[in-house]
Amino acid sequence: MNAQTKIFERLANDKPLFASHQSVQKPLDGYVSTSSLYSTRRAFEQISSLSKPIIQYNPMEVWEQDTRRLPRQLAKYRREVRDFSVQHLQPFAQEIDLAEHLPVGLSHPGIDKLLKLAAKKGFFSDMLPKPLGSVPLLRYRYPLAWQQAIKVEELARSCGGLMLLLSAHNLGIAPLLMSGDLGAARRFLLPALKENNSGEPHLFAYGITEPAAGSDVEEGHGASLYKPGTVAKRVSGGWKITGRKCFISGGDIAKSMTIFAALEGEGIESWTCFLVRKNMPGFSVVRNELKMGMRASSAAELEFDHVFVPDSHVIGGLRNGWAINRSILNLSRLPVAAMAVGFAQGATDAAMDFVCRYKLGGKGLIHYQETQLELAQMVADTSAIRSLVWQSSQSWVSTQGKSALNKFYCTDLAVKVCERAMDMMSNHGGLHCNSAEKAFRDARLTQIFEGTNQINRLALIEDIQEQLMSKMS
Amino acid sequence: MFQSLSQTDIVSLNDHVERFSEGAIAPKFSQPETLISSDNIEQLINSAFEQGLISAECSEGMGLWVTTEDPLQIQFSCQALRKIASINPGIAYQFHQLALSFYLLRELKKTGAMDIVLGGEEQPAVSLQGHFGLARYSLARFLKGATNSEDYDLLSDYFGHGASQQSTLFAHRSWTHLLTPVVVGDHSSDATIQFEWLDRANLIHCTEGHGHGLNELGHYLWHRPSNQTSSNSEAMQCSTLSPAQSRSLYSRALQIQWMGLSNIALGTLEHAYTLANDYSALRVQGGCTINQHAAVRNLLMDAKSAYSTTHSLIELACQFPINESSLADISNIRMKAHPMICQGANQALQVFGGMGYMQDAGLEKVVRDCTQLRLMNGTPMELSLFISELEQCR
Ligand SMILES: Cc1cc2nc3c(=O)[nH]c(=O)nc-3n(C[C@H](O)[C@H](O)[C@H](O)COP(=O)(O)OP(=O)(O)OC[C@H]3O[C@@H](n4cnc5c(N)ncnc54)[C@H](O)[C@@H]3O)c2cc1C
Repeated sequence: MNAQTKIFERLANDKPLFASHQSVQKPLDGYVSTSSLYSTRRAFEQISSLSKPIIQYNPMEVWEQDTRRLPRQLAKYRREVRDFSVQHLQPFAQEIDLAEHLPVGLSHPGIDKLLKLAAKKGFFSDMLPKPLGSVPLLRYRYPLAWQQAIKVEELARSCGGLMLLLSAHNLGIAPLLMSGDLGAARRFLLPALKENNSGEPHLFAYGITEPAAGSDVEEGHGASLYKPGTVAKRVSGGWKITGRKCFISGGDIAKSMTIFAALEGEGIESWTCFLVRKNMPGFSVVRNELKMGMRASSAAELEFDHVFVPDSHVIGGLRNGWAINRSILNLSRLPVAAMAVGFAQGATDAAMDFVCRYKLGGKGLIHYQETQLELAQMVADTSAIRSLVWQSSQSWVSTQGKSALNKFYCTDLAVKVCERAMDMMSNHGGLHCNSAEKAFRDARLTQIFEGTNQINRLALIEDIQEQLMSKMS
Repeated sequence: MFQSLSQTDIVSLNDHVERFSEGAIAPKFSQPETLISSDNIEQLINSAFEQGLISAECSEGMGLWVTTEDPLQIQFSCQALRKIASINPGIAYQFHQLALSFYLLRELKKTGAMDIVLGGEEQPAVSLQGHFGLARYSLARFLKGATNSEDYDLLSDYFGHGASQQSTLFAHRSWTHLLTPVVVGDHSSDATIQFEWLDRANLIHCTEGHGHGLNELGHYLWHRPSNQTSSNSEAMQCSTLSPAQSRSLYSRALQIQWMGLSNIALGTLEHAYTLANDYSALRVQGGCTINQHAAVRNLLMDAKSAYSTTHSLIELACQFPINESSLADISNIRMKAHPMICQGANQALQVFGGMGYMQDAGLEKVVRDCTQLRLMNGTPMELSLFISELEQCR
């Protein structure tokens, strides 16, 4: 018996989730009841036992079905993150989204509490296996991108802002991992992971964007023409950094930052990654942006006014910053696609709840065919982008083309799903309490950051440039 | 009696609105990230009354929606709403709602209510929509005079306003009375939609919540108290329209509402396009101003063509009076225009990159407001069902 047949058998033996309801409830308008001989449920009970392993009616929730198809370690992880998300993010999501925009230096008490919990749970050290990080060794058999996709989707489903609050840190520590600089990892990463594991959050932020360079730091052609705005000047024992970084996620609460600066008098080819501490003289958080969505997470403008950074804080060697940045973008765009899946799922779930609960003309909206058609489209779109992300993240190797296509395709579709959810709720779709409008506002960011979707389309072409060139010769 | 306008009148009226918008409205909305105070909105409403932009009398051609018979006046109302919306869609919506309330009060000959409103003691709001969508096919059948008993049930529920049928309302917080439709009649008789004038204090249960767009206004979910129906209330004043009158009035009111929503969204998009176009000529990325990249041109063109197409459709509709024969055309325009407008607004935001996501750039508000307007009084999908039924009833 192959693995798939085993899974099907297991599913067949499981108790159906909705069994008790089926017998008493009337079917949806336009459908036969699941006890009718015409239903797939009854029909498939009667088919030959030889066919049963490949054709089945499965009354289980789609989420559960998907989870059971994952390798055991990842399925377990998915359940853990869902539990955490439902328990700690969901109840807080609406409140924090509407909370007052606080000035730099102040944070909502609920945020502090959540950060502590997440640290303890191992969310800030889940890029590395135990004992260095929090990932059980067995789970580390599967690509990090897949693990992160699972986590990020579940968090985003509950709240985009809280998801980003808990996830931007991984982008911040990525240079320490991607640079291959073991010394730096030992000096900076391990102590921070230790703090995190003890429940004392030590967050990192990642700083490449400058007021005059957003897309230019996401793609090579623009970078080659850009005159860097954040510059490191050589001084005795280290470097003095001057300049500004903007829109940095978690930049105001991070204790450490991986900041990219050019060496004085040189272009972006000299980009070097520096580890900057929050308490270094000359560093300040200038402002926190007031955003459309993702409101639980900050986007900060950071100022570096001759910040002295010792030589030991150079990550991955001088002039290796551009290479580190490009490799990180390859890794970080897939999780953005996974965020989009989470938003699409959140919006679908919200719409599903709404149309089952809300009545028009004495009947639940779900009885009406137009509602069923819209819902089917949302379920299909969400399922399609999840499949793409899961399929693409099953490899340890991530190419620019794959990451970029996941990013722009999934995020564009997810925003459409969120719009559809609002439309399904009609005049109630704009109400905050119905969640779909928030999912839309949160999802809208995913079309912009980690390179706009326009830049990501161009990144895909860059990745197949040689192939295209060969056809021209 | 309403006096017909000439093209010259329209030009000078538009100038007047332009001056009012730039002089009185624009200074109050210079920071898109800061919500204007309720007092400021009230001041603007008072100024709009003083200027004659909102008018109780139909003889003054300057007022929004003073008539649905004169195409030039309709054109003026559309242009005025677009202009005001290009500065702030929330205030444009409030003016539009007040003008629609007066239109209805005039048509219903509720002079008593109008006098009190004009005396400043009461503020009207109007909730034209039932509790959800457009009542599938039933509202279309009602407007075509082709209802059956199922429609009666559905419309009674749709306009029922009980605790489980909460309706949405956007209005400035000072509103005191609500003008809203209710279905009267029974299965055997020809149903009519009558209008009620409900007192907020005594008759309506309201909760104010947070909404996606038009944040300068209050967002309400309202319903009648459980012991209150249209027939047992003395405080409610119900109109007594014949079935034909009731169809005609509701149809015109709905079309005014749709024209209002489409024009407000269009003015909002025009503003977004101007911002995006200007920004794209300044922002340098990839070694040149971003308006030189095909990617950005595509975004700009999506916004521009959504604007131009909708504008042409609306101009075409403005050639004719608003009456029962224009219902299909006006609902069609709204169905087709609104998704385009939202897409255009989103693309304008995208031109700004990360800045577009920030409240102070103003683009994200444009997107939210356009989306909010799409959801009110019939989404594209609901309009599609509605229009298909108008076709079936032809
Ligand atoms: C909430 C938020 C959080 C963020 N978090 C971080 C973070 O943690 N760290 C960090 O470093 N950055 C972060 N960013 C920055 C983000 O990655 C950039 O905003 C994004 O890459 C776009 O850059 P930009 O905003 O400068 O837009 P621009 O580059 O100015 O783009 C403007 C428009 O021009 C187009 N365009 C630009 N160049 C080209 C070209 N060559 N060809 C075709 N079209 C082009 C774009 O597609 C876009 O439509 C964040 C941004 C936001 C909004």
